[in-house]
Amino acid sequence: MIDIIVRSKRDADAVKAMLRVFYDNWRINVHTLHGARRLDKALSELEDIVTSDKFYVLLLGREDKELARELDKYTPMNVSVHVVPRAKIRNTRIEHLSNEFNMARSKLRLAVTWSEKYESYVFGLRQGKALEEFEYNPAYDVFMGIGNGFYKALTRVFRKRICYNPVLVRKFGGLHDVYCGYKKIALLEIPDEGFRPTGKVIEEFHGNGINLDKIIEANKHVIELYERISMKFLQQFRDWADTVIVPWSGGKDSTATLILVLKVFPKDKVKVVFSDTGTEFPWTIEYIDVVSKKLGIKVNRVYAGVDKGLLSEGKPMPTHDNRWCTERKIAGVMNAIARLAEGNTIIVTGDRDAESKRRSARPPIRVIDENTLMLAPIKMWSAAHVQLYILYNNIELNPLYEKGFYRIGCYMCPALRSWELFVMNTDLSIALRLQKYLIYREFIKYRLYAKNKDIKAAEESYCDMLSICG
Amino acid sequence: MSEIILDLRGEECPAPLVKVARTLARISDETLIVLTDIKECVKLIRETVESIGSYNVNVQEDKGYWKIIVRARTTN
Repeated sequence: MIDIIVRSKRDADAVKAMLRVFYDNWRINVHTLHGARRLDKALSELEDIVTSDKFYVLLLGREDKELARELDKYTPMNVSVHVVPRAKIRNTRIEHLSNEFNMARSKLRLAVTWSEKYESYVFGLRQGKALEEFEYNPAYDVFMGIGNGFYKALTRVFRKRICYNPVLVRKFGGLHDVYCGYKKIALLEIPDEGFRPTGKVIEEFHGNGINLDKIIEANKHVIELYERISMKFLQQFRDWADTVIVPWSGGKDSTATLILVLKVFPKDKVKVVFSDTGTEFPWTIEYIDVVSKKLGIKVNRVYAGVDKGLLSEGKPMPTHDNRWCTERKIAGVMNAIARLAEGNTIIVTGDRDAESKRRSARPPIRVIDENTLMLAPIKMWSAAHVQLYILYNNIELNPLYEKGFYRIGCYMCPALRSWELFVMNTDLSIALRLQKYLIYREFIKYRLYAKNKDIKAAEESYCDMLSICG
Repeated sequence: MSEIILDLRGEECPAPLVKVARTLARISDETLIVLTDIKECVKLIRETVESIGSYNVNVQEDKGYWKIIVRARTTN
């Protein structure tokens, strides 16, 4: 999925030492530019190394800063050129080298530029004008606030007009930068607790915003590149696998993963599992029905009984420290794995680096045993890549996203933040439908008095380990 | 009755869960003993086992790890 390129053999030795400690089992190849210091020679070496079905990180030391700057103008979109700021690669401590590799990798995910030609964002490196005050960080993610619901929710928070289809950069502690075009126009703060996010408009927006069809058109080559890389990654297991299991939540990450899997593996090998807690948003249940018909797949539904736990077994409302709901949801998937896995089995998840530090440390291929692998083909995609990929394939997004959600999950999930609660309670089309559920009404009462520690889901969402909470 | 031991110490969930699921799918009356040193995995393994079939699950804590004994329930 990703290789590293350095200038010389001694740099390669240092990088290999770092990979042995921090990225064991990642299957990362290390290439060299055979010592090239001149631009033409380095470009010629790169031409021999780089293919269009992998990502590459070109790591150069401080002394090669100028070379890096020049190379950055000419390298293709799947190459992240990154300078290790403090020293030569070979003299950098492996912990620092690992951090720099993470940073370089995050550029492939977070890259977003503005194209005047298309009047659109382009989610790839070197594709247009840089966004104002845009910075890279391995913890960040980039996504689009697609749809009328998102627009209305942002307008309600800011009390001012915001463009249609803005780009949001998710930073630390619930802080988000909001972009309309290349301009940063607002700051959005989403606390975990409470029911109301806050925001500040930096510059009022005039105009209609960015047309979604134009965004898809402008990003066609980006989507195709990211798809090609992920498909190539999956294709290496096409002959080996007898069974391919996809845990599907109806959220964006597992939906994109499912679309990819169906393009690589024969349909009769693919087993799709939906673990229904009984507390799923009704829109998600409908989405699973509509999309499975469109994709022509049979969904293996497992009932996880979280509603039963709350209504008739005396279970308490789940908290960060009492995740019995997660245990049931995951156990549902495991039940399906026990029944459906035959022969060599691959479990394909929608794990993405951007979701948490813990997740980004996991290798894209995890060997469970000699007959079982877990794969994460969209590990290096941003949320924006995922959104675009689904739309590019003529599959609609789960309607909850268009109503303003970033993460989906259950309607009584303790990981729901103030943003989702704000959307749920201020959009009448959601609020009125959910009000019918006793569990939802109890959950809202509970959240009014809950302590922050019970809500905050540390750095990972509850159902994180299988990416089954959307 | 024979025993199958899955020593999953050092492995983070969900890998141990998948191993347990796949092992339970292929055994019949053997006793499965799962060792894990990750507390979070204990409940998940128990829930997984109970979701897959009718088993008696016994958890014993040892020095720094947990031993989860899984036996198929007999009908008589």
